Amino acid sequence: MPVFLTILIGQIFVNNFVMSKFMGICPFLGVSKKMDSALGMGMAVTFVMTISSAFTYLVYQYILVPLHVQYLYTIAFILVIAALVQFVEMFIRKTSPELYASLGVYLPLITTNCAVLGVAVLNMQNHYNLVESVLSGFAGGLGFLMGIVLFSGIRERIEFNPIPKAFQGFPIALIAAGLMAISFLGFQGLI
Amino acid sequence: MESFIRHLKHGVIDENPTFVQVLGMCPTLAVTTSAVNGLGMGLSVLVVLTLSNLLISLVRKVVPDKIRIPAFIVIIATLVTVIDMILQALFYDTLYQSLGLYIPLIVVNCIILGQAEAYASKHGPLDAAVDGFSMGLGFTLALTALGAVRELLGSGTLFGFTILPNAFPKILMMLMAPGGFFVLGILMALFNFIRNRKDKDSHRAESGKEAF
Amino acid sequence: MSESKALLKEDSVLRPALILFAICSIAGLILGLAHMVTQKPIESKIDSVNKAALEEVLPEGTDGLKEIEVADGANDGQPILIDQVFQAKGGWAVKVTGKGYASDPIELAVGIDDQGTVTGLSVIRSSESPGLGSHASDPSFRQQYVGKSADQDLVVTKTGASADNEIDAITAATRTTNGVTAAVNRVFAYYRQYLKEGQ
Repeated sequence: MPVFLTILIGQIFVNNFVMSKFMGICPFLGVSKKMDSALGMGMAVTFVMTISSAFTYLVYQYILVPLHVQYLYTIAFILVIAALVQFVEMFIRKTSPELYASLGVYLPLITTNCAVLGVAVLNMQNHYNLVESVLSGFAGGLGFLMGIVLFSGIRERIEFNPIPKAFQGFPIALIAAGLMAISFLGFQGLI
Repeated sequence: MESFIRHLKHGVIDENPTFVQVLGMCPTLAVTTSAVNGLGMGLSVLVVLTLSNLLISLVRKVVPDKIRIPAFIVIIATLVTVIDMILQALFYDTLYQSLGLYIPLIVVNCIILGQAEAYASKHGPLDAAVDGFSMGLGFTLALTALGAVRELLGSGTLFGFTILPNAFPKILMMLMAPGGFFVLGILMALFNFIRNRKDKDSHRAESGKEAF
Repeated sequence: MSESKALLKEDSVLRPALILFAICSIAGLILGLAHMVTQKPIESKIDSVNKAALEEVLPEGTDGLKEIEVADGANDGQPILIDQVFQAKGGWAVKVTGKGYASDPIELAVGIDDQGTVTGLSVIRSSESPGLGSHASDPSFRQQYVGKSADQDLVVTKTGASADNEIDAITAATRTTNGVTAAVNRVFAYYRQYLKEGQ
């Protein structure tokens, strides 16, 4: 299988960030009560993950490696991501008010989304090149988008059911997520 | 001393970061396939959280509001990297390997930045450190409990010691991703149930007193 | 003097930037120091873990062990992907990495004697899930590879190994088994191409 396809299918289905790596669970649980907001969050994350994969790759290859300070990667990556999120927020606000209205609120939350830092570290560990890194970030974001949108559909329906008091809110959502994760196990054999 | 105990109760029960605030879910679900891993991750976060709260509280008056978040992130990332190095030097062949990728990800654990924003940047160093410690303790206890349940059901062991006889069927699903969601959901419901009961009891006791 | 005071004034634009720069510099300094202090212990720890693994896979011990260069070309084109090769008495030890379920690779040491028979397999590093993929480190699993011949590639089976070149998959951790087996097969390929006598 060509390496691009492996990365794409792997990141979207088999190693789905939310369902098998448990990354980005906080927004997955926090912003999934309504499908609209889930879609907005998913798109914002996909956008940031794609761009940050490229930037963290460049910072790692052309700043950290030549200076032999690879051990600073955590701090460098998170700063790149935080700066990038700020920049993207300003850029969108200036250029497209409509897009800002739908994505803007979610952007500041993305800095602390593990999936964004996680994909940067994974790209580094897997020795991906620039194109592969960007692809892996994009596909990882799509996987997150798919997970959160599907999950919000389930949660919208949960609301209408009589649920024992102790299970209301997060507990029942977690159990629904568990059932969803079982279905994602079915993708295991794909690659 | 009394305020210390109140802080502890606050972090472990009233505002438990896992069961009540539902923060820091990535490591909570990902590394709790055994009790030891849960404990290791919990203690790492406890150390980072206590120190980051202390440091952030110390610099809170020097750091202007505009650069608050990046400054906090730098402090937290530094602490995490140091912990990473120490874990690697001490536990390379055990804990360091099983926690793997999730050690650098402590940086983006929402509990830590959330505490920095909500508490450490507004309180004195001692208070901040104690609050960070109690939150970290609540997190550690929750992760250890989650790890213990999953390990017991999935591997039949507890902290590596065999508890359930071999004939007892092992539920491997508990160790996989879905099991993480299930066990956390059920533990959280249990936590809610006990807390609701307690509230009701104390409520009843109080109204009983009034009746007299 | 007055200039530097102006820079630090409350309303100066540069003040936040300078403070952030100072915090970053202090952080960098601390990390540099921490790196200097922990580098030696980390390296010696990794060394001792590696050495123990090599000792385990080489039945005749690690006396006179020396690292030989990975043959030119083995990792180009259609790469075999071998990390390190060590020559020992009566055989070789090869370090190789496999891809399992976890995002971190599985590091393995495989011992192979001059007849092309596997003398041992040791897991140096793995982040596979405890209770599932972590069973790859169990002696009962690793023992399956011992005595296998490098002439034939190994295959993973879920229905109980019957043929000589079959390996039983770990329950619920087929990907870990596949990763380890593929890595061992790469060692076989390297052996057949470069180590077998006369090569």
